[in-house]
Formats: sequence, C-alpha cells, structure tokens
Amino acid sequence: MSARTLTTDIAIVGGGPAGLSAATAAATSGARVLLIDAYSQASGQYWMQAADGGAAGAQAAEGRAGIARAKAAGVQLLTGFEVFAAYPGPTLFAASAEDSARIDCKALIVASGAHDRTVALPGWTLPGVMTAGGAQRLAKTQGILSGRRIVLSGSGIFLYAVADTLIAKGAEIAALVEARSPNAALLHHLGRFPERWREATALLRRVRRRVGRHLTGQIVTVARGKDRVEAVGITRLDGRGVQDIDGIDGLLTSFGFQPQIEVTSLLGCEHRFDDTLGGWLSHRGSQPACRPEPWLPIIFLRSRFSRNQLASRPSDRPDGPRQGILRSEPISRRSLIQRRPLPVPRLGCRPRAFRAARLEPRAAPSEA
Amino acid sequence: MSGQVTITVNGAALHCASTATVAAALLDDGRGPALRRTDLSGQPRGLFCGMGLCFDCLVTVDGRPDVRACITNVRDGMRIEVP
Repeated sequence: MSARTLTTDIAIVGGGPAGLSAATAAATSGARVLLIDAYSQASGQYWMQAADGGAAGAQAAEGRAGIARAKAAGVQLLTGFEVFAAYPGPTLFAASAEDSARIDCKALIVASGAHDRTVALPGWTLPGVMTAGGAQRLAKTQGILSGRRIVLSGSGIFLYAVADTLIAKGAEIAALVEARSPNAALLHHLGRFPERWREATALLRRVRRRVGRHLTGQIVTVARGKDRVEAVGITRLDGRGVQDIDGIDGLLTSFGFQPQIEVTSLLGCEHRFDDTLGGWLSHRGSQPACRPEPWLPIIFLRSRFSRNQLASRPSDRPDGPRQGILRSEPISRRSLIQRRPLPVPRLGCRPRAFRAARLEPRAAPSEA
Repeated sequence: MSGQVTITVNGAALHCASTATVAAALLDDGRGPALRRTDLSGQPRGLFCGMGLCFDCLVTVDGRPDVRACITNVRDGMRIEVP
C-alpha cells in the first residue's frame, strides 16, 4: 500500500484559530501552506462549525471568516486526517478513514490544541457521563444534546460556555458544581481584552441566572445509575457534607485543559509534567529529536497551555487567539500578579497567566 | 446542503442527516446513550470525550470493528453494528 505524497513549504497540524491564523499569515507572505486537521472540517473548538453549515453564534461566524481568509490566502486544507507518524524531513504521515498521505515539508507548525482535563470518579464510565468539551462538540456540530437534565462539574469558565450552549438548545442544567469559580483575577486578566471581557462577564451573568443550582467549593465525587447515569453525589471540598442530585441523565466534567502532545511526542520533543498547567507539556526551547538539519526550521506556536505549543482548540474561552504566529518571551506569573505591563503578544493570548489566574487558589492580583 | 441518507443499524434502516456522525445518528435514534458493551464484563459504554481521543464509542462500520462513532461521518448505505 502506498500513500500519496504531498509536498509543501509549511505544514501545520491543527486547524483551530491558531493554526488557521498561522496558515493565513504564512500563505499571505508567499509560502505554500498545507493545514492538516483531524476533524471533517477545520475550526477547532472556539470557532466550531455546525456540520450542516447551519446558523450558529458569533464564534462560529468568526470561524467561518477565519476559514475563508485561510482559503483566500491559498492555504490547502487536508481535513479528516490524523497524523500518526513523524520522521526526519520533516515528513508526516497522516490517515483518514479511507485514505493516507505522506507530507513532506520544509517547516512544521504544531497547533494541536488541548482537551478537557477530567478526573476519574466512581461511575464515570456510565453512559451519559462525558467531558464538557465532548457535549459542547456534539451540541455545536450536530445540534444534539447529550442529556436533557444535566449536572456540570469542574472548574473554569469553559463550564459556563458549555452550559450556555446546552441551555440554548433546550437542556436543563440541574446544577453547576464548581470547585472554584472564575474570580476577580480572571476578570482582571480578561480586562486586557475588552471585547473578551464583555463576552465573559455577560456569559457568567447569563448562565448563573439560568442554572438550577449553583454550588461552589464542591465537586461531583460519584456518578450512579444502572445502564446510564441517573444521579450524582456531590462533596464539599471543605469536607463538611455531601449531597445527592437525582433524576438526571447527564454528567459533564471539565477541570481545565491539557495539551495534546501526540504530535510533539512523535517529533521527539522533550516534555515535562506541570500539574498547574494541566499535565505534560512540550518543554520550552526543546527541539524535535528528528530534526535532521540544524538550519531546518521547526516552529512551535505559543499557546495558553504551554510556551511551545499553541492550542488549535482553545475552546470556548473568551480570550481566543488573535492574529500572528510567534512570540518568544516567556510570561511569568509574577508579571500578571504584579501588574507589570506584559509585552504585547502578536498572538494575543497569555497561557500561563491565564491558567494561573484560573487554577491557583492564591493567584489573585496583588496591588503591591 | 444537508440531505438525508439511509444507514442500517443491526440491519434496521435509519434515516439521518448526511452531515451526521455515526454517534449523532445513533443518539438521535432514541436508543439511549450506550453505544456498546465491554467485551469482558459487559458494561455499557457511550460517548465520553466526543472528539476522537478516548476510544470509548467504538462500533463496527461496514464490517470493520473499533471505529470511533464520534468522529466518523455517516455515508449512504453504511452498515453499523452495535451490540
């Protein structure tokens, strides 16, 4: 069996806002660009498109424009293909359900995104228990609800985005169970992006008004049911009590995101484990082991998740990437906390700071 | 742009949107969230990640086992087997 060979200047893995923006920028500057996305259409999570091309919200409209810009710039899209091997060259091999391709490129950009961080709990394999991102994807691309009466559990503003989508499609959110609410530090951070700040605060207000119960400082610790989830047990993080919610048909969890490191692993990049940032990350400054020629550029985009990897699926966070490709300066947590002016990233996202604000209990801004 | 196609699920015809994924077609059919049973203990499993990563939604498509229902698009005449 032989794969067809595609040759290009720059190959980009991941067709979310970041990958598409990078592709457009590179193609506009004259490079031949091939963008590979695992799903049947590019867009990533934040810009997610309905499968039937039907009407959707402002984010989908932004996405349509982003895809149109990439196509107009001459970017070649290879959708429905997953990269399964990477070799010196750089050469990638990718496969779809019925086809495969070999991709030879001069430079490679990895923008492979992230997925929900979930925690294992008793009963989590019951049908009806899903990641929040999975339910979001099902609702946005297919217009289908994973449940009618749902409990959402985890932390982060993404829970609100998912609740918003599901409520708009007619689901009842029986409870929004937050280990920790999006707080002042997050909103302060978003203040740097006025448009996204408005989007976020409106989202928080809208969703809090419309969920059945809003529980904070608590997490779902057990899912119960016979052949599908029917009830959950909720535990307070301070240990002072448990409660049950019955009569549900869906439990969605998301405790932030973890980067997808499959492609950077295939490339032999160094990775390190950072629990605060969600798991394994490609190491800053690490170069792919397969890089055969010292001069051969292999480019990693920055991301909100790690310094070297850009999310192609930044999910429905209100500070999605903007235009641009690269940024080299690291951002320290101190720079957020002490309100020192940050260097303006061309990409417009501040990963570490964002996560620090969202996940860490003591990351509130200091006025010192 | 969204026509209808006909697939079969365990031999029974099912009409669905041509843009549907296998998972969406099955869920929309009102069969509940379980898509398969585990091989050894027979426990029900459904969609979990919903985006091609966890491999918990495996079904048999046109005789080919272990196909991810969540990221596989339906095609007219597609044969799906679920336990």
